[in-house]
Amino acid sequence: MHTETRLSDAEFIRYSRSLMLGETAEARQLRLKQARVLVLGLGGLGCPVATTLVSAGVGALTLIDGDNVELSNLPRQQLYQTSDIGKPKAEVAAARLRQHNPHPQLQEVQGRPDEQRLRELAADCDVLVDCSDNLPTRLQLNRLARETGKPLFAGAVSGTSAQLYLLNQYSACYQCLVDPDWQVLQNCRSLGVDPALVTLTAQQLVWLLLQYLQTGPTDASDAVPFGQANSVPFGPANPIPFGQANPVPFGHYGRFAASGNHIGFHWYPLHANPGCACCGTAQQGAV
Amino acid sequence: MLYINQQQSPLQAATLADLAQQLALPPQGVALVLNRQLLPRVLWAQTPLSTEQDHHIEIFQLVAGG
Repeated sequence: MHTETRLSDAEFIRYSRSLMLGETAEARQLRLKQARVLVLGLGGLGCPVATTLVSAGVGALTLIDGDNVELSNLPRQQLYQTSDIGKPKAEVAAARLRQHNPHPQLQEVQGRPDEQRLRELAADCDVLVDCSDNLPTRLQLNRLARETGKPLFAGAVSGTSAQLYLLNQYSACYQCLVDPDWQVLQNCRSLGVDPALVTLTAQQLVWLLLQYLQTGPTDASDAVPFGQANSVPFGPANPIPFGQANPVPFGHYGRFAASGNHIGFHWYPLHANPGCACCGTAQQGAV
Repeated sequence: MLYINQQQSPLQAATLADLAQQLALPPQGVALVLNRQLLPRVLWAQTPLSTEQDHHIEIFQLVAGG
């Protein structure tokens, strides 16, 4: 968390449309400026997540990716251009994001940091965002989120499936759900990926992340917990300000579905595995 | 009555693990939602499916790409 206490004149003009969004808008913008976010993976999910965070005015961003830009990335990964093919993603992404908005502090990490380095990077950030494309990395970031107590915002896509999970130190963890030995056959290389769906998923994730980063302690205590909002009648007798009804559904797993009159993410509470090797009660007892 | 992915099912199962076996679900990479609760596989064997109430089950493939 940075200690910036005010917005500059240039920032006031740049973010003027965001600053029109209610009486608390300036405080929310300032909270965003004080936040540092770690984004692991700068592919189809990471590009839109990083772009929206930077354009919206996040204070600092740590960008990690070990890949170089490939031709087949370009239909989804809009930070890169044809002339970038072969160049390191983290460096290209950071350069393009700096051109877009010079205010956020960007730290690019080109490569695959080892456990210790990733722990240090995670410890410096307020939130971890998993936009990676493989199970070992997801398990590693889940474990580091648990160790450091940082909230984890994650997206996962493949083929025409899109999923999100939002976890914190009080919820179940990702390893409660997946077997670490799972041989993932369903990846973008084998199943392909829908360009618009991956972008939509990233924007849903970053919308939730911005809600989290911009919500103050008072807002959170006033909010109706996620899952109860639907049972509360909206209307004059029980108004719930937009954006505060359910700040962030931590402990939930989201699955994109388009059926009937609903197109969007269905959210399910994820139950903990008491014997989980990462977060289970046995593990906690051993610490 | 049992509903699986919005379709009424004739299957009868004592537990979720029993149901998973009847459906021949793969051993990894599958999520199972019972009445809007996402239950890790380790809980399936201890989760009964009583016949006294309807159960809405959703089964989907987990993905890990990005």
